[in-house]
Amino acid sequence: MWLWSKGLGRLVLPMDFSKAEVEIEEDRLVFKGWVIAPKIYWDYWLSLEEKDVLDAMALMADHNVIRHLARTGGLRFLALLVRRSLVFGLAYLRAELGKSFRSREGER
Amino acid sequence: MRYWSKGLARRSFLNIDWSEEATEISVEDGQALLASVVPIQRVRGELPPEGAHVIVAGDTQPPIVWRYISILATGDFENIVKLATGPGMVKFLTANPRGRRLFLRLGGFLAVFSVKYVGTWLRVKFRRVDRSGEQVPQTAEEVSLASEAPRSVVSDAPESSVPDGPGSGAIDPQGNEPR
Repeated sequence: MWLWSKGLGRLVLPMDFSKAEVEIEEDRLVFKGWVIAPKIYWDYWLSLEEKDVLDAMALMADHNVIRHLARTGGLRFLALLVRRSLVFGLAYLRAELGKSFRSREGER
Repeated sequence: MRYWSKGLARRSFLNIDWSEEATEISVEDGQALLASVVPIQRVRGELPPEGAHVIVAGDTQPPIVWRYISILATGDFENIVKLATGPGMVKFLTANPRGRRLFLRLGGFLAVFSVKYVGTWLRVKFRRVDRSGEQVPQTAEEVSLASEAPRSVVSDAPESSVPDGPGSGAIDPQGNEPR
């Protein structure tokens, strides 16, 4: 992703999410990484709360975005999405079951 | 969403709202769009390759209100999907008291998104194939996309909004060199 804002002047920041680290801080999801450009080596963080996750989903569901992804990503993108979603769903269910199992053990 | 980088120096963070009301989403030539706000010869940093990208533009929310443009390529969406379905997200949902609700919403979104995606992909694919079964180069819409002039969403940024020197309200890149 490339980011420009008024405060950056003539600097355009390239951001590579593939190298971002994910952390949880209170009720926020935090991505941490580095912006690397000529003479620039800045650390950055992005902090999302529940609403931001929902907004990001709405952004992806925009018809302009879907059409662009369908054109450029084709079935490869869909395959990635489905595969990752299934693994994610199973991992979440496993974590939830583990949590309730541990809490029951604690009650005993 | 809160964003902070070393370049913001003593400023706390930028508050970027990705809600529908606060965001302008379009598909344009990312490089041409940047050229409309920063003279391309003067840009510092890496430019996106020429061609269509997803553009998310808007104004950051108080305390710092700045125009911003983010340019996303398909690879960025793949990385977002990987992050959103990674172990970090699982931890976030299990730690969040409303995690189950959010998980269900995510699941619903993924199902609806996949159906919409397949529908759109089929439309795009079959529109490209003519009756003889041969590939049509590109639709007129796609050809015009790359040469399309940037939307007015960013054209309201005045020349003076690209300050270089310190004290102009912008980050002084020289003052924030690598550690």
